[in-house]
Amino acid sequence: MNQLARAELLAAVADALRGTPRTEALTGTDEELEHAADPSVLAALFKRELEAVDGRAELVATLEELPAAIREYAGRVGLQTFLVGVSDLARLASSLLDGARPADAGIEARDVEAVDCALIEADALLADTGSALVLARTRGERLLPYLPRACIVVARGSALHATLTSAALRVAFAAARSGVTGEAVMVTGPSRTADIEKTMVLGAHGPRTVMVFIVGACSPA
Amino acid sequence: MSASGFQRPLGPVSLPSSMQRSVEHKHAAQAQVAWTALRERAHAIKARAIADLDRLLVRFEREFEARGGTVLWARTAEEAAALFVDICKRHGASSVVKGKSMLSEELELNRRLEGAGIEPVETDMGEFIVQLAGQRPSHIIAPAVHLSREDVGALFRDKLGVPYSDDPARLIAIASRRLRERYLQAGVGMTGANFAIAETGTIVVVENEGNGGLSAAVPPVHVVVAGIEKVIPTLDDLLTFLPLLSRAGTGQKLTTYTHFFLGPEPGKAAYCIMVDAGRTQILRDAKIRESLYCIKCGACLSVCPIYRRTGGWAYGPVYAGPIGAILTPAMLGVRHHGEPTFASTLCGACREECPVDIDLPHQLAYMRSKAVLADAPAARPQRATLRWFARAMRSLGMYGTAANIARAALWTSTWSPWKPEAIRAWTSSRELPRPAARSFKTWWRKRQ
Repeated sequence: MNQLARAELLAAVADALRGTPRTEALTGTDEELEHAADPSVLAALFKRELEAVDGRAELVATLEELPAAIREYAGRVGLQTFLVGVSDLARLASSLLDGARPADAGIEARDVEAVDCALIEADALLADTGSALVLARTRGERLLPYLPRACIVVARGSALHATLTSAALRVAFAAARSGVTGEAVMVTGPSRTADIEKTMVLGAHGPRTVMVFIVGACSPA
Repeated sequence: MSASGFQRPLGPVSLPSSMQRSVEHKHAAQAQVAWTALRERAHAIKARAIADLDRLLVRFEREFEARGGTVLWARTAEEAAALFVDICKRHGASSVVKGKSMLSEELELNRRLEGAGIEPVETDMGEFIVQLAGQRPSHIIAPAVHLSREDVGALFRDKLGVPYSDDPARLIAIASRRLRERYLQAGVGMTGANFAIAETGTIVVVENEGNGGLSAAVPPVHVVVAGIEKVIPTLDDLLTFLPLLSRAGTGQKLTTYTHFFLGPEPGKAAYCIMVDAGRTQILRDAKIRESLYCIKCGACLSVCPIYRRTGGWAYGPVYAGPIGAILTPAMLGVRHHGEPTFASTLCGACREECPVDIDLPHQLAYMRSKAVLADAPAARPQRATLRWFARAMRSLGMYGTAANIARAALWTSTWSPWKPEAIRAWTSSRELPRPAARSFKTWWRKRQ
């Protein structure tokens, strides 16, 4: 498609660069700063950072306790209808929610928009920034982090990483390198804007609340 | 641009303090990381990417298309807009929801879409406000920074028919509700690209509102418009750029959303329009090539003493601030767009702030010299002044006459209430020095 424009544009670039020395690729880009940190320490850091950007996090000791913790939270804040991501952890987490249904492939944007809350699994958590990395392969999954006005994220303690490294982003990087399509998104707190006189307002377009449940990263009693 | 553009400050009185708060916020965030090391690394990555741009563009195209997308190439703004309109028509789209993109402003995409009967809907809150007001953005990342909450309240009352409010939360809620329906109706969603990854054909977009994610995910077609300079070699390079961009742009450790668009999932189409529109002209000139390293964070605007005083519109189309004063004349022609190059004190604050360490002051001085050589109208007063000065300095008689005239003018100004319009703003708050009673030459002659 538009081969002439392509050829001319690329020729113009090559011509402009004539005589420019090409440099070697930089090495050592992935300075692995991960420490063999105790997950409970990372979880505490994650919680602090997420709260600094108006999100919330709760630590749950075991997988068995997760559904009840989520039901209790949903009841407390008045969430009644849910669309649930396709992962096993997300389905388990939603098992005690009456108004939950899966976000399967055929789901329409209007259906997603109509529910109170999305429930999705994060493939990685970045403690240093309070960010959750979510991989969405289908249309339904892609809509979940944005359309409902509340978002619950569930993750295992083993998903915690100290900082932004390629290890932390490996799920997104591996997907990109292997040709998986869709979207990976790092979510760091609720949607926000400061476009009117730099006054922060939450829930600009996406969720107004983001709650992250981390399983298996509690401090030893 | 009008010749008097810089004489009329635009924007609210709060602009300088708003920019100052923004800078303090960013500095606090930058102190949390090895800022200098990250900055040097970012500069090196961009230098490598730009030097290898022809190869990286081809690699990006191959990888993007291997994942089901289509790459289109545009030599000019008109060509890019025509390609966009063609995509909309082929997919039967009557409206486009747009994520924030300065390139879209550069292409005048809204005007061109409207001309083709397609409705463009800006979804970034600041862009939505300026579109409603029929204005242009005045800041790269804060498009409506020139409007007060009262301005926005009155605008919404007049244009949307809602009761007046100056509460930002209420105003945002109104806009958000309006835009929800537009996402669901739109046939095409558009985003820009903060980075285009050659290694994997991935488009990376950072934002805070979620409108970029919605624009890309909800409509059945996603169109990315990207300048050719947005290509970087590898995914790992993001580990350098993401912390820099968010900290320099908004003072955040990371923006609320960092999207990796991997390619269209089943049932969806994705396009990337790669745009030149003057960028190869910049590439050709080694003295300003570094300006293509810009990651459009807006940091240089926030610290610029001229921008703080004038706001963004004074710079004309499209990019404001120090980087705009280089990019705009370089892309659109220095003869007719040379005025912004003079809108700098060359104090160097912009370079100190730049997360990619672009040598902005030297490039500004260079573009200024090009404006003079091209006989840009903005450079004419300076040229004429220097020409007369050079003439006077070459002739003893002429120098003496000029000095006498200057002394007489200065003496007159000490008692005359009338001041020339051009210097009134200066003299209204400052006293001119009292002239010496006689010239040095006269004094010296009498002393002999």
